[in-house]
Amino acid sequence: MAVTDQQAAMLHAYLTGDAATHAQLRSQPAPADGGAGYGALFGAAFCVAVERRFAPNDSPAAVIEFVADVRSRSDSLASKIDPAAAEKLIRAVYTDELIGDLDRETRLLTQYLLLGALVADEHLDDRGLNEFVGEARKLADQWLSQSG
Amino acid sequence: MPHPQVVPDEYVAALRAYLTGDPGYDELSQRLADRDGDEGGNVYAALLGMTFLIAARRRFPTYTSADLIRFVARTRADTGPAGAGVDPQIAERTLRGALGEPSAIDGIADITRATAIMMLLPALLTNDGARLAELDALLAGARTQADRALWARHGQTMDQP
Repeated sequence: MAVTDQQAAMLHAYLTGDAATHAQLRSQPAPADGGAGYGALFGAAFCVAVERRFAPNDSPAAVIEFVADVRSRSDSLASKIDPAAAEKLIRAVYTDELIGDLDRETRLLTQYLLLGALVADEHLDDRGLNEFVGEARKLADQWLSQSG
Repeated sequence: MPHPQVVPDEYVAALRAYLTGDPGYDELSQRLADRDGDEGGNVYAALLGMTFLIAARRRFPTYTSADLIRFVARTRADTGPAGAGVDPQIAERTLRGALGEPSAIDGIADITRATAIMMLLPALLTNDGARLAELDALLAGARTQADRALWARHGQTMDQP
């Protein structure tokens, strides 16, 4: 199993804010993998984005202030992002923080919103965004091959 | 045991010691807790709550959600592991409660709110640039308000059949 071009295009559309393309791709027949490829790609993109932004020796304050900055951008983000969950999900990427207490819905919504902010903050051009999606796809493919 | 309707001097001294970083705070607060138990805890909580309310309204005469989010985050970031361990949404709601949104604190246990207040209060005063004389005036005002609140609470209890 591997990430498909359609799934990579969906991530690209989300990150560029191209809602029409994203919706059009989503409306296509579900892939044979039941969405596992997109789930892996999405999770991998979050990890790549976090690792680009934070380093293991960063203080906890860096994560606290980043999450607060994102939540400060709109009332919608302030209400939708649980800051404690967001901080935990970020730290979990590069520490041994456990996230088993977070339900799936909270995890996915929080990663979804944080990923948009992390990538937006990088101010990537087309080439940079393609490299980012490529890097995430490579990591997701590794995960998928390991999971059989 | 303190009178249930009046904040004793020692309680004001204990809160002052906490807010000024006096190393004698732990010993004093422990002695008062051992001596006065839950009743004393209620009196101290009234003083702490009123001090927090006054300090919050001075610091944020007007505010946006973003103001409160950033303030809580900065405070948690500056207070190390203890601050990082405080749930930011609880802290934000506690602040909103003091700023005139009473429903914001619905469902938050008193002890949880008190923990958030203990983290936020020194930062509110620091950002307010409070000097010791101003702190004493603030504590005096909070004490008066706490006395009134304790009287009102006690009166309600007595009026019940």
